[in-house]
Amino acid sequence: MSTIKGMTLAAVLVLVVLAALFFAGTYRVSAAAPKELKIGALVNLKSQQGIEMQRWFNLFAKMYNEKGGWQIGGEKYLVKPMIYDCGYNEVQKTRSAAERAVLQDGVKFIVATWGDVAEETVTVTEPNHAMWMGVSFRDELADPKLKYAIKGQGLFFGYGMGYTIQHDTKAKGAKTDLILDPDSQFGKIGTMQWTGSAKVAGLQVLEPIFFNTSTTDFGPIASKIKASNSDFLEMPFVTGDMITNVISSLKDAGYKGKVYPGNIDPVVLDNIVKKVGKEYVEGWECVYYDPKGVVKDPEIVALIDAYVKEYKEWRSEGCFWMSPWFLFKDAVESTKSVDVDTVVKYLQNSKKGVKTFEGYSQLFARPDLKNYKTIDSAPGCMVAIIKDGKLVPLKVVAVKDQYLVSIKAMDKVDVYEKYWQEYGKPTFPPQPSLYDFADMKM
Amino acid sequence: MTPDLFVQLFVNGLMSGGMYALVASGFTLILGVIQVFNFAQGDFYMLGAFITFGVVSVLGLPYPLAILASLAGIALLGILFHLAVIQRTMLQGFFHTLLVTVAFGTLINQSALLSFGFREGVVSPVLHGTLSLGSVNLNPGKVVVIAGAIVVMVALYIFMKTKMGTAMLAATENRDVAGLQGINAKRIFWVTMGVGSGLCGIAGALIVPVLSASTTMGTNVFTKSMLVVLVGGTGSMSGALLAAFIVGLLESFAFHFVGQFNLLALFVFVAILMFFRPGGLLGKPLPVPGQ
Repeated sequence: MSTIKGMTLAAVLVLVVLAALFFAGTYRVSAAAPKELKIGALVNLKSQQGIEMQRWFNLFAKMYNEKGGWQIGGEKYLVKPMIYDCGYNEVQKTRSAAERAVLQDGVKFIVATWGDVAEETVTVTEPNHAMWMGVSFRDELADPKLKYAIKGQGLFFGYGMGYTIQHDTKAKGAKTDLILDPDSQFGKIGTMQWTGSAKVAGLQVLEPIFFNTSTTDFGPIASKIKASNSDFLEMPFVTGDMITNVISSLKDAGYKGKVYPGNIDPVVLDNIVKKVGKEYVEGWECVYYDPKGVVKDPEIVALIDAYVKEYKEWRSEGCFWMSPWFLFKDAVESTKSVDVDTVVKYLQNSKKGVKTFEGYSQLFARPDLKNYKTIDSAPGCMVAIIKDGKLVPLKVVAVKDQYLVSIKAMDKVDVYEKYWQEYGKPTFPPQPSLYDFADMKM
Repeated sequence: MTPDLFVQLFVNGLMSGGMYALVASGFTLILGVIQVFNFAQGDFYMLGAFITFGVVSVLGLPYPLAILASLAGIALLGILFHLAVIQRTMLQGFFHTLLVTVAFGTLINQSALLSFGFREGVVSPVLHGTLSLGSVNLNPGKVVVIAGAIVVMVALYIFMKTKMGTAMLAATENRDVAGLQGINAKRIFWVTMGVGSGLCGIAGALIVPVLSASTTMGTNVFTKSMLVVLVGGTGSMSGALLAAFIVGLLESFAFHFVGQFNLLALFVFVAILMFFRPGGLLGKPLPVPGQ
């Protein structure tokens, strides 16, 4: 009997010890387990841009998590990318993606977007104290009433792109400028922007030509362009196969002026050259989004190398649109916080440019909308020249040019001068620029 | 308008008209004979362009072979689609087959999107240089398209005079009576589907040295082809031919005068025509489905 009693006692003791060890172990695990940081992105997963952005977020997360998490302040956070398909300009799909992110999954930071209807997204993020930092070409997203919206990628301060190319083309003798764009919201915005910067560059801008987005034969359009006798044709928002077809039709029609073909990559250029030959496109300048082999910053080069290692190929379509990520990363690392209010406050009082794939990106205030917080970005981008049928990177568009040319082109110098008198002139990243404060008086 | 510009716009209009003629002829043939509203017609055209791109630019084979491959490939696809799906759903009525063609077109389009993404398929021009008519420069590729479309339409005309073609026309007139006269309707139907689809294959093959192949190219041509069929008259081959060139020329010249509203001008023209000639220029209204 006593033996049984003793065995029972021993078994109970063993169980108690095991239980104590188990709970102690569990406690230790939970105490050491990193927290989770959800980083949201609303992208159109039917577009190459959306797919590439998803790849970048997954890669960033992997890079942090392999080191045990992202060290923020005194804690480590496992990065969890939360990518939602918002379609392209689809209100319903955007809304359900935003609701799923913010309300269901508890995402507090929407760090990048491509294709969402931003006005719809912020109706979900704002009341739920979640940050939206995406792409928007509209002023509604710079409304001072919005507390958690940052235009991480926009065009308001993007006039320097066109200006840089127009400035160079004018120096080569062009006097008149004709803009061709699709008859869409983006096309209209692009035309307005390029018209503004062309005037600042001193070009005479002809009546723009718009075409239906379903157009496949550009022969009639090319004939009309040729009849305009313009020295320079710009196609800011002509995309995809349309670029090749327009240029092919221009050659057929005998157009001899310079052309800005939009943002093309080496594959598109190869297609163009296949159609029209390399002599026809020689010396054209274009916006170029591929940082590989151009940007020398070691941190960016390391990211590009990591991408190639991870995906066994290189695609540049997502690079331009990832700029908000770098602004966010800088804000988190500078504040050492993942608190939404702290991060947003930092971004809204931004004083410096942040390195991105495309040079620098910097947030600025919008005094023209009575918004004195830095909530609208001047995006970085690059310009390339076509030489012997190849794209040769030429220069990075300076944030300073983006900012100053935009203000001048939109005839808002007075309101910004008043703002500078009160808040001081902004400082810019160390980049060579074409335009200065003094030029704004002219 | 200068004479040079007039010639440029005229050639552009003829080229577009040639494309529309081929796609619309196939469309109206299928609609007339089988009474199937083939929504996949534009996607067949797109697929034909990509087949040509694949044969010429990827495999490096000669362009004439690519035309044959595109014709054969798309004709075969049309026949298989008919035998496997259309033939069965036809018994369920007009709208069933219509929806099935929408689904099949979407399937082709999405498959192409998955395979090619947003990249275009570019084939180098078959004829290099420019054709000069005085001070007017013309792309010889466009002349090839116009000539090719005319040759195909003539071949189609000759085919329609053969025993098989006559049987197809008889089926267009009255399926039941044609059946009573010993015409094998089942055979006529799949041949029609093959010919109608093959025309899209040729159209895609002819256009790709001039315009690059893209996954969106079929939608535009299909929309215009429907307009062509309306203008020419449903089921009328000669009507489709005439209307195709009218639509192509109108589209080309309208852009010069009204810019991006050229499509609107085209639709207004069709609306006015429909008001005065509901059956189109040379056609008769189709029987109302279900009656």
